[in-house]
Amino acid sequence: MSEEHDLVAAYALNALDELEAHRFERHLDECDSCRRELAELLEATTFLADLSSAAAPGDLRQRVLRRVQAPSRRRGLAWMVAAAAAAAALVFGSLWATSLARLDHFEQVAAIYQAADAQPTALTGTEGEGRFTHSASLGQGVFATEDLADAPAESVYELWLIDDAGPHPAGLFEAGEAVIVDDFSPGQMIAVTLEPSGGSELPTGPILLSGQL
Amino acid sequence: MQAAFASVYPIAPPHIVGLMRQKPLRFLFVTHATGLDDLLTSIARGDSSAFESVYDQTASMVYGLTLRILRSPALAEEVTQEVYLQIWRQADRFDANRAPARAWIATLAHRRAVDEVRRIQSARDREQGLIGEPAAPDASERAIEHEESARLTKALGRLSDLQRQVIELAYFGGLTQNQVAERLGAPLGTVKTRMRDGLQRLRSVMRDDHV
Repeated sequence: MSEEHDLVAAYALNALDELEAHRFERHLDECDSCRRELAELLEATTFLADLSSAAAPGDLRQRVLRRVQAPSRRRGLAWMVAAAAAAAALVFGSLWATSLARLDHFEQVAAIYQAADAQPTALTGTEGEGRFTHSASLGQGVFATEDLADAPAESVYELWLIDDAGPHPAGLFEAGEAVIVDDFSPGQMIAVTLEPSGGSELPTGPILLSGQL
Repeated sequence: MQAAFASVYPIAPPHIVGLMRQKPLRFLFVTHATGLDDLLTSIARGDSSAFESVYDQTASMVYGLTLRILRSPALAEEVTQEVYLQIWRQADRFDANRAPARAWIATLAHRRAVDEVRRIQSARDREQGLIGEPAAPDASERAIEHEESARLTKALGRLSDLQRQVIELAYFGGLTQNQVAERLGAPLGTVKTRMRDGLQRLRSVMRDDHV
């Protein structure tokens, strides 16, 4: 235990490698005195951060607000969640487990993964892999990716359902996020492209990942 | 079937609407104290005006810190945007019992910037097949260093040389504790100790500073 204890300052400075940081976080969950000391040391690192302050470029505020507001003011066929880590891990192992960002969506995602008729569709491509898991009885599916690089600046990944009528936008997402899709039918193709921030009504980029429902 | 699908788009089915981030119910928040902790709680409920306040109160810290670490205004702007996107999406992970909001935001910003430094460094290592020293600062980087806040210099000046070195290499240089030890040719145990007593020392400097 004392060995983990020694890592508290390096953790506060973010000077641990991933493995050590993970080990220390587990220790932190059960060690009151490390939590207390970490809170103290974070006062010092926050002090350093404050002392580093520099005026941000004036237009940065507008760019940040635009990026934040882009997905929410757009269409609602699908909405964004970070995938439910535990539920995904439960069903597919850690490969498909990504971070859980919004606890309030956890149960919906878990319900889809755990549905008796949950059916996975693999999406393949050169940029990574994806999986769309849907339940016909719930009428919902979860799309999640693995190994997808962060979208370049000013761009976003967009999910599409494609059928005889053409491509239908099914949601925007960033690497590591999952998308809940509500309206799909058997035989549709599901695909991912890279689009300008805010997404597109029709795909403009090449198909990066695709699969057949 | 297809007609039904088309008619639904782009209007979300009711149960999906229920799950989407709702427009903020501003009246719930107007009388609220506007401390950062409370603002983050409001952001977790989708309050975009709370998000704007958080940006205004923390942007110079986030941008200044990422700039110091990344030494490139363009990269710092990009990482700052990512940090605020993360704050918007993950405000519900903030736990005021663990650390105050300002510390949470500083930690997010620091992690993002250091991840970026390590990514760039490992790409450079792969290209060159060697463990590279960070590139020598060019003129614009030196200009940034000149602008370094006098208060920061003064605060770091209250540390012993070794305390200051380990903290600067780790916090602003993005080195891991093992890399710091290697760089300074110091035992890891010493590095750990100096990080710890150096940060505690800074904390008391900070308290004096605020009096």
